[in-house]
Amino acid sequence: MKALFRKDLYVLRGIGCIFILMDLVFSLIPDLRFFAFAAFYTVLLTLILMQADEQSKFDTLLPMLPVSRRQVVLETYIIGWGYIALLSALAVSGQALLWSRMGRMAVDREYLMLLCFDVCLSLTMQGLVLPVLFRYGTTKGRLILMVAIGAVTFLSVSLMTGTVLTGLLGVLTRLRPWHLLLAGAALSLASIPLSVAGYTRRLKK
Amino acid sequence: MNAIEVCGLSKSYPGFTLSDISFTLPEGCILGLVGENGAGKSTLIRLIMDATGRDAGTARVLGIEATDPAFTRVRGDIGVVLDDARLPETLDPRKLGRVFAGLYDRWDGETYHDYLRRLELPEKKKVKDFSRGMKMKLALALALSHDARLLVLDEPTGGLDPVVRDEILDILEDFTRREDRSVLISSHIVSDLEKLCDYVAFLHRGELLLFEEKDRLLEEYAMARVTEAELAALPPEAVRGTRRGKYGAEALVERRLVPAGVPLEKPTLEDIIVFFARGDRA
Repeated sequence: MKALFRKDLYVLRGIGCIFILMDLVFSLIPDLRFFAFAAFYTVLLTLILMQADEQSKFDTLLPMLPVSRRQVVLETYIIGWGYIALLSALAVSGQALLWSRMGRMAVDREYLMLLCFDVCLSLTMQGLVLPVLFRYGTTKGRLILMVAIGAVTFLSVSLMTGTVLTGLLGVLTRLRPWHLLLAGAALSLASIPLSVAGYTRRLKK
Repeated sequence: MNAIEVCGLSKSYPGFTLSDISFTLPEGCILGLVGENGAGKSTLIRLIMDATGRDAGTARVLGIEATDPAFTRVRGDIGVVLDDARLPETLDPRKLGRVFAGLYDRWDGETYHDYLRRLELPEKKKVKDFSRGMKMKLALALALSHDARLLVLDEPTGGLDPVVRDEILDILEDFTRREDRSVLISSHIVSDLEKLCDYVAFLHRGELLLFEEKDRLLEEYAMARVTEAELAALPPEAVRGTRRGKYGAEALVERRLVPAGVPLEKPTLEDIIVFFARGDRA
């Protein structure tokens, strides 16, 4: 698996720097407490890596190399988790630096909650997107995801009446930060066997 | 031990079926897999390496069934080269060497660098900037640098100029000097395989028409260049394929079934393959 990390880090060397630079800029914007872009970037990063393999057709050589399908899937997840961790660290330290200059407390409960919500969102997105990408590949998978996102958005807008929204916010405010982290981690972990099964099915076709 | 044992291997796609393929490649031998484009050579290689699902049959490689989870480790003893190389395009040979070093337990960096020097491959040029020939040479260097016991090569010489092809064939000859090393090489350039192979398998429209030792094939069959009347006089069971022209006819015949006195010529492997594929057409 170390070899796959190395390969992906080489592939990311150029693009990754731009990503981290943008993350740094975002993390240094005063009072920017909500890092929704993290979820999007995490998915984008893994998508870029999988797409690079498909473009060079390395994905057809990979099943003939001494790595198991589980290792291939797990490596992609770990890259995503690593990126989420890096992004969170950057965000916290960036805001802490700014707030110390302003003489305010670095991390309050609200900030921590929003950060955990963002990590949860990133892990959830990863858990929902990767099984689709592993099953259908990036070209077909992206199309399926776009249709699914469209459908979910449409349903949400149609169903989110004032009462539902209030109820949902009520639930969210009762949650503790670790609830969110746990939920995200559980969803991400639970999706690994799905991704392995999807990847195996795609190869067996 | 056999390097590869395939029994009743089948796979269907819409519009194509690879049916009931069986053969055995003994350890230390080179098998040339011949067939026209779309005959099923790449599919067969993917099945043997368990890179795609099969509908029926078994494939044992270096003593392990390819669908067995333990086969992942066995892949460490196999060097693979696919057509068009299929290596990550943004990496250069130096970085690829580091990646492959992590994949194979017996990776030998010195051997790899020797191959890069011998094949005149730049270490710091990205794969995407390589020509097709350079990519294939790089893929071969990677496949040969971990002391593989079996090499699986899918069209390694396709689309390459004769000089590079010859260079690649030389390297393969070197590789097989050790008796425990085996090679499965697919190609539609039969002349390349004639130089190299101990066994020949001929795939035609998804069926294995022929699997035989190359020398035996060349001994067993002969070319008869005859007139139409002489062709008609040949025993039908001796004739495997014919070609009629303005000045007479050519037939691939089984030497032992042809009556004495008929002038016979030694065929090339290409003759045998072409006549097997065409049968009585033309």
